[in-house]
Amino acid sequence: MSTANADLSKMKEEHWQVLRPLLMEGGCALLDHYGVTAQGRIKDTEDAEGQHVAGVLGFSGERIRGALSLYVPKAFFQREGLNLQLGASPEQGEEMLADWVGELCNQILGRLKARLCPAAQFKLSTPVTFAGQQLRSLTRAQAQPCRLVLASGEHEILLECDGEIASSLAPTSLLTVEEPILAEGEMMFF
Amino acid sequence: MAKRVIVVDDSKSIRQAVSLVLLEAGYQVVEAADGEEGLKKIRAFLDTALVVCDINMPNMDGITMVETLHKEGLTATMPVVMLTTEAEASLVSRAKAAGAKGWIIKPFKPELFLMTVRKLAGAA
Repeated sequence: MSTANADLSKMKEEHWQVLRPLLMEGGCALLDHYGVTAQGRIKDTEDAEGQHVAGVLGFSGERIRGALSLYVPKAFFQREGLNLQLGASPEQGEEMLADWVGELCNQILGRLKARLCPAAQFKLSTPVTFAGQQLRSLTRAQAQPCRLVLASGEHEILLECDGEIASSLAPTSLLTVEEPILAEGEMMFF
Repeated sequence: MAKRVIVVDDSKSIRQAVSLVLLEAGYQVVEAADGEEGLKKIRAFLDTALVVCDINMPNMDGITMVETLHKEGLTATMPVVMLTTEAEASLVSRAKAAGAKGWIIKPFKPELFLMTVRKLAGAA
């Protein structure tokens, strides 16, 4: 991970106005890849009760750093149409489901990274995953994270992202003007 | 004897998804959970037809693993394709310079992935 810059300060609403649509669109597009149609919205209600599988992935660059968390209800994994590409066996086990949630964090941040300008580039950590009841982010009380819901039927996946950014990176300059070299699922040969 | 593909990824679910596609197509699969383990498996199976490699992994990342293979002269005879969420131009350049033969962005589409495997490794 990169060394933090002393100039970093908490991301503000003007940053989230740029990043939020990318996270929302990315999360929904990736769920669509796994066979589930979801719609994104800002999280404005109390947290859902029940068992969740969660994943956290850090990102760190010279001018930006933070973490993205996903909280997936266990019941979501029983959803019709969901295809985790793990084979026909319905019994994948909690460890495998948690691993998939960590990988989804990785794919969402990878997609975000491809849309940010060179100055906002970062390296990704490896994910941490866990499962349990009424999971909450410990930093939520101190921070003002971006909180989104990726809703599919009665299931709601919570996406939280919190971060710091250099004052030299204006919200209006965060996005790259270049097309990504490849989209998800695409390939190139050398 | 089926051709062997070594899959290097720290995500167990990705390894399983990739292995499933390869096994159904008739390939033999060996898995490794990071670059270090990948190097050990590759050195142990020098007649491997293809290496499928992630980038962001603990212990040793995928680019470093491919660069190490390149220094040992192994990428000249053993094709490597990167399977990653990364699309950063500098990483693509490093992989290409180290002799990687292709790049796929996750999540992968099984049919396109298999097409890539057959192009680089030949039929199972």
